[in-house]
Amino acid sequence: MEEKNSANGNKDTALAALLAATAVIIGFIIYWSDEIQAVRDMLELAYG
Amino acid sequence: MNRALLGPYPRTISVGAVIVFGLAFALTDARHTTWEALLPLFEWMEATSPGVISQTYGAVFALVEAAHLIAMALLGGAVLVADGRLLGLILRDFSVSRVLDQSHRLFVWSLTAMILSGVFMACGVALKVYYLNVFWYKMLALVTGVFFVFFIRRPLLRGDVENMNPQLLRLVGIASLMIWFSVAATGRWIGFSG
Repeated sequence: MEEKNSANGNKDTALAALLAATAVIIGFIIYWSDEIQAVRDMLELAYG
Repeated sequence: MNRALLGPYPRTISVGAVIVFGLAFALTDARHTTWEALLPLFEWMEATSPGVISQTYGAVFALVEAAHLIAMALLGGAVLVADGRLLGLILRDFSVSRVLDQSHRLFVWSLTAMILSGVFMACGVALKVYYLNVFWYKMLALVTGVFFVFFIRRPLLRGDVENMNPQLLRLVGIASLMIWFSVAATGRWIGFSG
């Protein structure tokens, strides 16, 4: 029983890490690609 | 208690709830309302002793900023060592848990120094940073980073790291690097804004 709880706990921690890491990576890509696009738009406005 | 309420996956459900709450906060008017409600706090910050000192004595602000940058460099080093080891790029002769334990101590001290010096500096330019979008993104990245280290990475790596899925460890290492890269980049961006 205790072994099963421990296995569930490990699985829970690993799943939480997978979920959090995926969310962070998606958020990072969206944020920085948005910022880079904003800079490109401004450069285009300034220099054509 | 947690298990009774959330079943066998309390941590995963909590992380999911935090993500949903964060998205709801970002995509609704709650974000703007909270931002407006925080204005008196930032006005008060400028009137506090650290705020007055850093506005009056430029040298003090510069010294604290130097301490802030050194703390950031140390924190960056701790993050690079820990995540580099997780990714299997450096220190492969040492066990993952040993490298992570030792770098975590440096991480905690440098994070504490970074937050203390950062609050002091923010008091001096509170209204400037209040109106900067990038300041709020930095705060978001910092909170995410602290949450990720103490509630995700540390508990995960407390287990049997050597027998853990290496792809998961790499994913966690990459996510951690992305967060702290964002903290550093947005922090420097604040310095070049306004």
